[in-house]
Amino acid sequence: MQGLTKATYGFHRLDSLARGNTAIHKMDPMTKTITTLIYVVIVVSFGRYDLSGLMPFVFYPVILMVISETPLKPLLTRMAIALPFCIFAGAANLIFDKETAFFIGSTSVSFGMISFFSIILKTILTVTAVLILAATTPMAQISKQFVRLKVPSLIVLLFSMIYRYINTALEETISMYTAYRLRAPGEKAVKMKDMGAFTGQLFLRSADRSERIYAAMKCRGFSGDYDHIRSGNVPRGEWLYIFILTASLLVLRFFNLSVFIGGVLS
Amino acid sequence: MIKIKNLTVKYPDGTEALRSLDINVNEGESIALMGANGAGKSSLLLAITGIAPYTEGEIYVDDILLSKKTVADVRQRVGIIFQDPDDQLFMPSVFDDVAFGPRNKGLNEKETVRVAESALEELKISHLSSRVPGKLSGGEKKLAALAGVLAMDPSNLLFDEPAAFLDPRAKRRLVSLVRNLGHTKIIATHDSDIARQLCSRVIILKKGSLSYDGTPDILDDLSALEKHGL
Amino acid sequence: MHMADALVSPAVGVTMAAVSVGAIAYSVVKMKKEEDFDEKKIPLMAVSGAFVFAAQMINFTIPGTGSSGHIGGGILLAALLGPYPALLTISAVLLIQCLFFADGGLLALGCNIFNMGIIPCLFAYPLIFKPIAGKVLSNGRIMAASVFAVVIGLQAGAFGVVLETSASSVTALPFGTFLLLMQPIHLAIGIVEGIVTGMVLVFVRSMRPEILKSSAEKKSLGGVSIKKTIIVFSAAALLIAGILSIFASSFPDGLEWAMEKTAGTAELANNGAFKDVAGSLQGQTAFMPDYDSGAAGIVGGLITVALTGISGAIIYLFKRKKACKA
Repeated sequence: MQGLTKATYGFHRLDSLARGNTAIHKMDPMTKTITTLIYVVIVVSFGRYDLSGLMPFVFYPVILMVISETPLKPLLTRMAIALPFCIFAGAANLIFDKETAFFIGSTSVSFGMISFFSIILKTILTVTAVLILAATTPMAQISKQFVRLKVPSLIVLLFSMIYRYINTALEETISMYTAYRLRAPGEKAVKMKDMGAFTGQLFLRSADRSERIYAAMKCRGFSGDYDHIRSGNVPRGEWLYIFILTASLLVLRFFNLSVFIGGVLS
Repeated sequence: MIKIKNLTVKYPDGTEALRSLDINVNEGESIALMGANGAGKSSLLLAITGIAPYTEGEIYVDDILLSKKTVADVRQRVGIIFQDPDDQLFMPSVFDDVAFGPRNKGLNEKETVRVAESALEELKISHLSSRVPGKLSGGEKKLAALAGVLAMDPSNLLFDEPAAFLDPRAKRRLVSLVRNLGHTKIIATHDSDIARQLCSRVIILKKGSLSYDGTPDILDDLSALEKHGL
Repeated sequence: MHMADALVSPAVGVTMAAVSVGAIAYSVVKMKKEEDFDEKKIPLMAVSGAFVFAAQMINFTIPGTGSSGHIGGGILLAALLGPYPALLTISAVLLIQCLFFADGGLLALGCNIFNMGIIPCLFAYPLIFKPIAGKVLSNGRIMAASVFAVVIGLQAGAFGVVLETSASSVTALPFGTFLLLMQPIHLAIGIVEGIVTGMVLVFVRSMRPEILKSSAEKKSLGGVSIKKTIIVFSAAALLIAGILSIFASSFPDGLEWAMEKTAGTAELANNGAFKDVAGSLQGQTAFMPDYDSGAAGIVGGLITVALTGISGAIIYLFKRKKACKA
């Protein structure tokens, strides 16, 4: 059940990070989302054996993390979530792709090893890119951006409210679990036969809460739609940033910098 | 100003939460609504906002009779502050939460910002504006919830157990801030300190009916309180 | 079952995103059109989303195995809220998990919404859960409906993962092997999860019958003949389940391993059974693209990484100096 406590802290941590005041934080959330998406798409567009082409892409997360003062620790915890399945998929390559691609010194490097490391690197790069987005953009701004993208107000409201109530739900779960543990000291988790009542009770508490939330919303003039959040446009200077960044990513995508540097040296 | 005439609230299963209740709350008056658990305090508060479906009687808010037609108007005039502020801080930041009401009213963004900021300023919590409601302290949550209600600019305020879960310091702060609000107030509470400090008049409900309506002096008379079910 | 960005190609990611956006838009329209749509449902959906998020983290012990499981929530939400609200809620939860917890990637979001939202809410629930549960709810029917709907929904979802990963061609794992690894594992998970889902619904029904009643009484989704679909679906499901369970019983280690894997706890073991199966199928891989950059590319790549690290450090020191001055 450590996961529950960890999740509440993780949430809180990202939220306080997002309230920072660096150049990246000040950037329009739309700029950040567009660049993050472009970056992720270009990174995953690399072929499975193109490890060397991928390596220069490390520059984006490293520079951004330093500028935005995003610490390394939340990144590592997130990596622990994303990596296992990727390692699983990558490990298969180690097993099935044993043919030697080339030698570094006298060690043979197989195609499987290359594609294994390229999956791992892709995971690290994409997870970091999304982390930087989340750690530099407060939630309220993310929802504003959805409004700009013409996402229906129902979904924006739903997204914001779920985000808002996750902590409350986690806290309720933790206190119920503590009460459960006190009466079932030998158990390392909830017994399966108790899950119906445990989870069901949690849901009923949520349902009761939703009645009160609804009353509070009604009292403040809620009428089913909430399309009143407004937001400005992406500043002109930031379009330039998007353009330059995209251009350099595209250059790196089609010009293999690693091979070039490796070639110059050898 | 709130006038309640012969109000009976019945729940779908037939139990009567309130029985032929008559209460007048004058403009600017602050009354403490007391009574044992289940006496009908919450039902009364919800009935005034048109949320509990009441079956008989009349409720007037600022001389407007509460009905299906007027319910939206009435809700703009009545602000309710729930016992658990988590139930009414439903937006991802304090500012957005306070701005929820004004935005629903159709104010433009500039007006919304002005109204929300002045509500936060009034309660001296402007510094919480960009915070996530879930992570505030109990006292801060309470004030943020109150700011959201004040931003609607209601003339009447209903509090359900305002000091619940607050530490002594947060409670003192809340009391001094609430005392300075000029609204008509109904404060449902079990806390006789709160009743004494904020209210000039005490109403006690017993099993859904009016049992006492008078000065707060009764709070010192334990045998009288006992008689009213407290 | 959350897919990461590194496992999808841009084409697969974008296609699935388009499919998911379509399904979400359709659900918004459908939900608002429903005769009894009540804006009261919005806060209920929101807290239910938060509830599912927390509920997914509750570990429970599975009797007789020593391992632990957790619930997914697609069918659970569909039964509690109705299929369209459930899909919207799950999509929002998946977006939050992706942004704030690295559980599933941004580009892979469409895949994840499809596998874990659209399949259970818009297919498994109306086509399997509802016909079995019927209009007159009984505890037995709810249990049966939950187990079948979750198992089949999860099988289809796992199949989706295999399909999307293979179509992205990031792994050399042959399609068949991948399938044989994923399906039996998710059969076991599905049975457990289905039972728990049923238990939760039975409990909610015993406390508040009206919650389940209102979604049960809704008309089923029009168009398809539900009976026919059910027969075809059940026959196919039984067949797959039968074959896979034979496979699963001869493959207990892999099952155990992957169950822990999905709970995100165990390390990637050099599992014997996995290697055996993998090794025996190794001959099937023949695909080998041109690759000419060789060692020089890797060395050059390492140099770029080092250069990036150095420039990062310089910016860091520069910023610190500035902060000290200020």
